[in-house]
Amino acid sequence: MVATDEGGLWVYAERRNDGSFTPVSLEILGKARELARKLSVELTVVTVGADGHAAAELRKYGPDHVLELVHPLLARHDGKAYATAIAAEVHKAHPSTLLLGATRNGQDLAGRLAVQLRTGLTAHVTSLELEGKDQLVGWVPGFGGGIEAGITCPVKRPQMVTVRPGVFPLPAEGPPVGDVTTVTPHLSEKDVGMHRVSFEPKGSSIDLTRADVIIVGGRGTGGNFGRIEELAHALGGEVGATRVATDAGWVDRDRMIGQTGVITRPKLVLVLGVSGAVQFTVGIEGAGTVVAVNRDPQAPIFDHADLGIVGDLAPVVESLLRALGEA
Amino acid sequence: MAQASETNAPVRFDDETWEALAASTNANLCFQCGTCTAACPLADNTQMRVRRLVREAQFGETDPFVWKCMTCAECNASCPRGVDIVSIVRTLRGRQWRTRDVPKGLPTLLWGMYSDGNTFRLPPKQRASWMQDVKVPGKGSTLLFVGCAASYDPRAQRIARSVATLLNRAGVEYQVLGNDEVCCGEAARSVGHDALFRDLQQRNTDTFHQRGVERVIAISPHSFDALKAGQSANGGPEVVHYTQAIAELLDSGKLGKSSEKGTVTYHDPCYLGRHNGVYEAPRRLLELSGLKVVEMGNTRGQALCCGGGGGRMWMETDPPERTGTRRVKEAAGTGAELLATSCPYCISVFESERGSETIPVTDVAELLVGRAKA
Repeated sequence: MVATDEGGLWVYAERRNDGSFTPVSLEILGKARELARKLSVELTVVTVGADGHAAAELRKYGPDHVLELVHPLLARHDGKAYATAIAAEVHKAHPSTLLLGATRNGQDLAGRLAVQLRTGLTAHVTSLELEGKDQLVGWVPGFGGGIEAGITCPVKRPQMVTVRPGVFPLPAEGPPVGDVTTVTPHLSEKDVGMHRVSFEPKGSSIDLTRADVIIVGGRGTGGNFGRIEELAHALGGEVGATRVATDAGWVDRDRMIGQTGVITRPKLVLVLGVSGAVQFTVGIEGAGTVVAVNRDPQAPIFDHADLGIVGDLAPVVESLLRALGEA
Repeated sequence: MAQASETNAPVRFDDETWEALAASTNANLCFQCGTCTAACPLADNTQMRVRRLVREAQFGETDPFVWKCMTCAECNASCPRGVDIVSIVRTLRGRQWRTRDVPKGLPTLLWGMYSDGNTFRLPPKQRASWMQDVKVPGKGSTLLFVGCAASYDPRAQRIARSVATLLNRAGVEYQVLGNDEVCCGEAARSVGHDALFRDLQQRNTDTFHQRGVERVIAISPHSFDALKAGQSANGGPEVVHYTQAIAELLDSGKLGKSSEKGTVTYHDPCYLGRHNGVYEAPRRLLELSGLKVVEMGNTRGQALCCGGGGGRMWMETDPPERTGTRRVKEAAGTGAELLATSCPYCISVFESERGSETIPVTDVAELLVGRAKA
């Protein structure tokens, strides 16, 4: 890490409470890699936390440098403390660009940082372009009038942008690269804006949007979700359900996939005994591989499947469990 | 300062919300008789009280039940003062977008409508996939407006193919917009996002103009209602529902009658019936098919909503609150062999919420295709 990074491109990688990075952090890291190459500048990814174990993950996405800001007061997102810590590093290194994900925490941080740095912030962009020497154009759609505004920050640096989650693809992992610098920011209690009084998770913690493998059961299961749960467990996945299956009380409502349920993007989804009404299939549109089992060869679900099995689902589930050594 | 206790907390009047309502609705006319609550199909199974919602609106307050409303307009139809309560609901919802105080899933719906031009977040280039082997003449000043449901939902695509087949049999010259069609925006208006609604309206208006369209035949009553509102304001083409267009063809002899045997009951979609007063055309179609129409108790102006309007297609409804289940039961209770309707939302809801009822649900156009002689 050079002391000054004049003209450099920085990306803020946001960590969640479980220490993992938000997908949008990695999405903008992929886009930033491409932009840094075009600009012939170095790419630095900044991460903040109470421990320094995050760098290894980030090095897989091609940064030139990883800058870890580590301090016990940075254990959880705190807009005030995080902004103070990052602003200090920006003042030292003078990057030209700083990209953040437009998550709730990212928006909280970006606004505070932009004020502290006395610079401009383009919020919630859906695409990014380069113009001139190092001018970023952030495109922001507006509802009224159907306009799409191209916003630049022509004078001040760094130019700051928050990017809407899901607009850039997740980059592929590569061999670890880039050096790692760990900095302990100068922080005291007065820099912290929020204190945790108590922590009570809201309702259930099931989040099918983040599951890589989902086994979905529908009307055709007849409510026999026991073996389906075992199969989900064996594959390290989650159980999902159609509206019919949740209405019948076979599965909790928070596992319902589709138009009035959850929109998922698993790498693999097994769809068992589901006819495939569009109100369901919109919930698996972004899935990687779709495997469908249904007795009816005319079932519309087969139009969405990469692999389709016409027949009863029980023998399929049993053979899979046997193959996985769980039967 | 002493903290106000819960019981004597100050009441805050939201003047801005009231001003927005005063500008776009006639909420001031309400004198709190409560007829609306008595008419509301949600009053039986939920704590939704329309009278209370309107009273709160007069103080600039937004009732938390505002998102439950299906905009079925039973309240509008019964109000002795002519208060347009549906507009009050849409305006209150619109105010909630300022603070993003909206149900889960609705921002995603609007983003899909904005960027993909449809309510399913499916690619615009798949929009014409409903056509399959149906040939469209592709000429003339009449346009068949398919709408998102009949374009993308494989179940509703059958309605679009049936309507196109009937128009073809009658030798009507018409065009479709194919992948150039965008959402009519009705869902945006229903959930209170008027700006997006107007944006989509404009996109369609421009296309109608470029294509020299003088008459629009809409498949969904929701498109029919939304396009009619937009086009009449712009001096644009005449907008009709497909049941009206097909009824004309049957009456003028361009499509033949049939003499099928059997009984059918007809469900009036809210956006065709109460919102637009089209009750006769679909019944005329059923009559000319030869089927005997058996009416439900709640019919025409009193028809019970399926539950899919007002953006409720994109919000989950707890089973005890579903009017769709009640409606299918009522239809089955007539003893009719079929439940026919003329709205893709109604069909989708009935098929999903039928519970243990087995009465087949069909669209009027689908019935005719099987029976009408060319």
